[in-house]
Amino acid sequence: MTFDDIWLSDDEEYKPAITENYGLDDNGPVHVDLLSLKRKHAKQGYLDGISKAKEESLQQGFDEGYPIGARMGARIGEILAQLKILLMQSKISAEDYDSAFHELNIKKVLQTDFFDSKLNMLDEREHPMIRKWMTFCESKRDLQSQL
Amino acid sequence: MPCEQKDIDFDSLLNLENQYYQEGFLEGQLEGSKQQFLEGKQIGIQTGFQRLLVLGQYKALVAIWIDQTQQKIDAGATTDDKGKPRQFSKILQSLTELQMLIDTLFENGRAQVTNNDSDVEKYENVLKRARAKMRSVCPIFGENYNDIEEIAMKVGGTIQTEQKDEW
Repeated sequence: MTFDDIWLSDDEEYKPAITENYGLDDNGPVHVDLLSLKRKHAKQGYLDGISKAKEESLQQGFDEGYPIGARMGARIGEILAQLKILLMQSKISAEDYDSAFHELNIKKVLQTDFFDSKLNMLDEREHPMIRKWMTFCESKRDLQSQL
Repeated sequence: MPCEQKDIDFDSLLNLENQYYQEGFLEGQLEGSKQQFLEGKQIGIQTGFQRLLVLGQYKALVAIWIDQTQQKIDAGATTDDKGKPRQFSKILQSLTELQMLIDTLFENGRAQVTNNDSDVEKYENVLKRARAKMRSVCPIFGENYNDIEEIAMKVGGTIQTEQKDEW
């Protein structure tokens, strides 16, 4: 048995895939058995780590997202109610109402394009669709109607 | 190789296995956390949206109705436009109470709710009471209560409001 049978030479240096390279700090010559050992245990650790993280992170994410959605939903509810009254008073057209109804739908306003990469939204009034229809309502502010 | 030397190597091997496992575990935990956190956040945003949508409608309608009722009182009116006798001061009082109830979920005009147990319980309680009051007040103002719920359903989708969203 020669040295080369045991240790990878510089020419044969093992290049692990990124997913196999858990915690590897140096790129020096490594024994093949050691790499195999590392792959096996690090992979199992990785999978266990993902499983462990799933449950608690999902709940933490939910708790952080809930107030953001609540503020948006409440604001959109207000806008829609105001628009409905304006429609009943014939102060806006059915087309305007339908446009708002369409643009303020949950599937539209929660598109990820409207959020930053961490799904944050500091102020729902800055959401383009919400701002648009809030401004529209304010311009028709006179909400008097007949009882 | 002396026996003592073999024991030392075996211990080192076990330590290495453990070390590799821990390294992988931490990396997996970090990666899993990021993915799941964002997924949970998306669901949380959606649920919060759906839950407060109808209360936002209540809030706006009640504010408008209070304004209209006050105008009737100021004008000395005793009947509505269909000639039906109305006690507008009583209606105003009822609307003001309803507004105060709804406003317990708002701060400076913005919804202030979290998903913690006490907030969820408070939300359920306010929604239940406000819904009952809205049903009785809507006809006075020519509003069909079912339209309000229908709008919420069409814009926000459906949700089971009785259920706590926890995993």
